[in-house]
Amino acid sequence: MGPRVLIVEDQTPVAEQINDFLEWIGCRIIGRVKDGSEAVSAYNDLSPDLVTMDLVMPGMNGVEATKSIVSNHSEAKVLIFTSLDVGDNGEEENEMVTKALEAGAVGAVCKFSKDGILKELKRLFPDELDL
Amino acid sequence: MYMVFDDLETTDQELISDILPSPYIGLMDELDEMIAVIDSDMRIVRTNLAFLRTLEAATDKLAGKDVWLVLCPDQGKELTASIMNRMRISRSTRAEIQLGGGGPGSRIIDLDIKQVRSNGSIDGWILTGKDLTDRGQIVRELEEVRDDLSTLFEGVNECVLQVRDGKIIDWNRTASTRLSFPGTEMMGLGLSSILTSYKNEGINGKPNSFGDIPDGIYRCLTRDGRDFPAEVHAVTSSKGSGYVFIRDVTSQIKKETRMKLLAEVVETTDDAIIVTDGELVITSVNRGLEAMFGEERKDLVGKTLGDVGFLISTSRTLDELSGKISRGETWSGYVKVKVPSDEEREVSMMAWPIMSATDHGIATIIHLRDITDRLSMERNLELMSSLLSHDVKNFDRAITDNLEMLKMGIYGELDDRKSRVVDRILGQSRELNALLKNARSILQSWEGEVKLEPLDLRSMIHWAADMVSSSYSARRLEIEIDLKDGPVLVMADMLLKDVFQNLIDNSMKNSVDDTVISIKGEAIGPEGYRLYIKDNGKGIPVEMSERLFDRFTSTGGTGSGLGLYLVKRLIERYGGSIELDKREDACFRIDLVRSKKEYELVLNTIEPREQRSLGDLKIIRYTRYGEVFFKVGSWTYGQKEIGSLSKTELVERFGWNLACAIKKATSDIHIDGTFRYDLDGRQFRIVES
Repeated sequence: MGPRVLIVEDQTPVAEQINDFLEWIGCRIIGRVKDGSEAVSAYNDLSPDLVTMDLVMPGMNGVEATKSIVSNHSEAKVLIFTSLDVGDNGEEENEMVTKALEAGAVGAVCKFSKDGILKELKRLFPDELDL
Repeated sequence: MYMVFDDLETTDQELISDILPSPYIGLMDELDEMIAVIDSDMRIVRTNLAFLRTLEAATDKLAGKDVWLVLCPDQGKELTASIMNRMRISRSTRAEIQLGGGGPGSRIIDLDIKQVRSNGSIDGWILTGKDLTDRGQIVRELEEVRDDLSTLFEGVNECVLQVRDGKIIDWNRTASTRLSFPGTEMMGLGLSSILTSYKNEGINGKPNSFGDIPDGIYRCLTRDGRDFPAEVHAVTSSKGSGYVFIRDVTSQIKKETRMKLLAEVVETTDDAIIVTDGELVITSVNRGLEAMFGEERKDLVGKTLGDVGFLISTSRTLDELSGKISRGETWSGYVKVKVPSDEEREVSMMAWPIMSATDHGIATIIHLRDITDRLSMERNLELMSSLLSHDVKNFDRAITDNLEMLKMGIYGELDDRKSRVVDRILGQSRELNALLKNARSILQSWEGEVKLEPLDLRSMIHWAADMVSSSYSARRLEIEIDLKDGPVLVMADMLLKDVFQNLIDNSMKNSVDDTVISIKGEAIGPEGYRLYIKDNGKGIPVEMSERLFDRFTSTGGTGSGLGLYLVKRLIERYGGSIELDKREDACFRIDLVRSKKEYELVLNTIEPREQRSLGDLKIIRYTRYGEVFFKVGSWTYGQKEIGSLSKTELVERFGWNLACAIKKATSDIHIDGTFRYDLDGRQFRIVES
């Protein structure tokens, strides 16, 4: 059985995309929320194996949500899903990625990069996913 | 006095005394001239006090003595005989004698001798003497002064002419040279031969009238037919003689003309200019300021900057400005101003102090330019750039992503027809992606100042190639790089990768099978680097070569036509150039500016964090501050323990342009020490700390 995943993404089409892809590779999507505070509550309720965390969201952003989740659940695996790709110069989002990693996220990946997502999931769940 | 003596008639010596009653005798003693009454034997009857003073004698010593023995004891008998003869013959005789024999202290006396006759015979003479010694001294001194003046005039840079009755009688060396009159050719020339007014008239219509030269600017004519503007000043005596000073003012007039032109430019520019004195009190403003703020200059002169109504400034700004100006420094900044419509505008302001030779501020020039519209445009550009960089890009990526997922079969297998449609849409989507990317880059190239830094050329090329090849998964891209005289650092910014991305992408589009690109480079001079970029594609049609870099000129593929336009724009932004190499088909020749400085890489000592390790490092940029940034190639964390590599291995593995993390998330490299790039030897050396 693949990992149980909570998707945190404020844009519905993107959330659906991530949902479809992760399911296709064998993950089980147990929840989808649209902002950081919902993510914190959902984690408490659902205890997912993995949280895919968007950064720029209304209300509580991905950095604050990561901090909150990790500080209360040291075993949490929060994977940052950024819109930045290799060669991008998004200074502000770069900074947020850095802060999220400092806050305890286990990694960061471009949400549009299938290869990248696959590699991260392979790394984090080498036995649970047959990739 | 002479008339009294001329009218005198008497009979004998006593009468001479008698006819000089006491008042006249007293009067004689009042006179400065020497007076002696001598008898028919030329013996002294009486003298006045001046006579005695001059001879330093007492009265009783002279009476009855031969006047010539008294006056000229040492002078020759011929002189006295000649005078005596003339005295007997003429009623009035003049003679000049030297009292004291010509030695030091001798005095020159001019004698005027009048006969006194009665009944046809000479009764005696009245002898009057004027001491010319001092006058002679004055004349000699004047002559010495004149000689000194001549010497002085010889040394001055002005032309000096000595003139008498309107004619030149002498001149200094400068005059001879400047007016091109060799030798004595100027002698006797009238002034009008040399000076004329600018209306080609003679000097006040009287060419030779020396007394009619008012001070002013004249046209000075030289012998060889040239002329120059001259400032003329005449110093005249009452007898039509004197000196004329002529100063060549050509360079002064040129300077004044330039100043007038400059003043005209300052007055007519649209920018506002304020001139203040050393205390920042306004002394003048230009038309631009009047127009910008609707204020008349007469209402502004005399006010300080703090008092003018249009300047919305804090006292801190004015204090800062005042402080810098008083230290002789330039001040620049942005201030808010109020214009006649009561609107607030943003204005860039610069103030330059003008200092005296003693470092004292004597004036300040303040320049103001309304930049409100420019700032507004920049903000709009920033907004557009931000939209393109983030929002539009995200939507674009989402479209591509969904299509890729469709193609992957996530939503079920596609038949051939549907698969072809998806491929077509994916192709269009990639084009859109490339177009948006180029549009973003163009906007970025318009924004703000150009800040260039040294970038490793090889790294940039590899990076661009990786980006492009990842979009063409079914085709192979091979890049052969041969960069001589390396390592090569060129002055550019991060958009340099877009240059190579566009060129490589063009090559991919214009070739059918696998693409092979050859990039060769060599140094040109100490500051340039030349690249030749050639691919194995079909080449560029000759008719396109002239318009190749124009906007919306496609090279025959499916591109939007912005790629090469962007490439040229960026390369020129870096001070370089790009053109088609005339010697070879489909070969671009790019010249870039090489970085000159020797840089010292300082890698921070950073504590390793958790056992995270990093994937391959891709070189991003190298800054002038000695910091090099890198970024993980795909944000993927592999199993390599970068921290365990030694400094030397790290350098050997990643090249001289070593990556150093300053963002803590990627600061897993545990390195300390200093790495120095030796520009001369083009070696990267490790200097052990």
